[in-house]
Amino acid sequence: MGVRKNQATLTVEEKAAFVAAIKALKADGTYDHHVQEHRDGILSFNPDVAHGGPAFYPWHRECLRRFELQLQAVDPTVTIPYWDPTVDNSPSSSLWASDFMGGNGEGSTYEVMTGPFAYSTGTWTLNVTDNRRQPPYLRRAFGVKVATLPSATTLNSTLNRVPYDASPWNTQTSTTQSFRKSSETSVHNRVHNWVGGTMQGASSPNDPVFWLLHCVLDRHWARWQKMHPTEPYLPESGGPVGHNLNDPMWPWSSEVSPPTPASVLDHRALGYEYDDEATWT
Amino acid sequence: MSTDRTSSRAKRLTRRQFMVMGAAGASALALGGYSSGAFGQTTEQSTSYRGRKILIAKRNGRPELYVDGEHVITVHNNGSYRAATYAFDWNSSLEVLAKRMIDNEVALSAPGFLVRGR
Repeated sequence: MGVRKNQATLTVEEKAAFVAAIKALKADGTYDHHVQEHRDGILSFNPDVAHGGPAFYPWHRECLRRFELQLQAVDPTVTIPYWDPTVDNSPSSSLWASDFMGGNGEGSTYEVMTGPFAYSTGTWTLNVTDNRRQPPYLRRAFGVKVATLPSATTLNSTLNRVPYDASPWNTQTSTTQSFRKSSETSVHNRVHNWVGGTMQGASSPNDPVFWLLHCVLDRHWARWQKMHPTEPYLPESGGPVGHNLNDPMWPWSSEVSPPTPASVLDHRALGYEYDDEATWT
Repeated sequence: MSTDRTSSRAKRLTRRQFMVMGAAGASALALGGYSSGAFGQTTEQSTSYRGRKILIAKRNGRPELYVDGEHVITVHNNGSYRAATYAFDWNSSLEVLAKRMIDNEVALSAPGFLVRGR
């Protein structure tokens, strides 16, 4: 059972191993394949298979688990760490140090100039971009689009929302009637937009912090499931294609046993757990 | 046994099948959103916002967004408009989307950061 840890607790060696495994997947093209799938999920389908609907959490859980298994093929000790933006909520957090994710963008282009994912390293060229005019380097603009990261109060408020989701099962769903909608907007969207730059676009997995954000969101869903054990995944049927309980999820839908929201409801059954699960109430 | 196999096969959707469903839905929703949007039934409308020109024109039956003559890749799915470079802010119309992208560029002091991609 792999244990996903808070990034703030990682040792120097653990950070280096995570970065090295990511770079190995970047070098062999695996990483860019994930970027392309995420971009296509947003731009090529109606409904978006991964955002703005009930499958938001299941789709990203499957995506992260596949990515994590690929990282582990490079280095079996690696798991995806999570970033708690309600605690590590400053540009000076160790997350953004030059031995891990690197820092904010600089100058008028907002190019990330520090850390292992700076373009100048020669190992982090963006090959899948949102349009043909985008530059090949990683960009960040902390706090410009939204000034602050979500607070603990906001996070806890979303954890108390039930049911899981509600009609019309999309971006128009009432925030007060849906855990998925409230957390997707007030946590997920907010963090993407706080980081800014590359993270604001459909090809946002180009920024490796994408994985740390979605790892904490996956943990968030697991916590919600534990808090509300009688609340089922919704909808079972009648929702957008790809978002119902037993719908195959693209881009894995042509596999012999394609993943569905139902098949990823239990994260421990997928082979991983979180470092603080014993404290969840 | 054969029931299981049939069931499994029925569940499998190819990328092509997904794309066809997606394209059909996108066209229908985009047209609906355009017709009932801020610019009504017209095929081309422009407005100025913070010194930038926003143009919404119907091309091949679908509304497309241009800012200062630059085409902006957008989608209308899951009930909202989004741009490829601005995917995590859900907007009710292309005009609102364009204005929010321009607002963000003004805050960045970087015209074209989102619209042109640099």
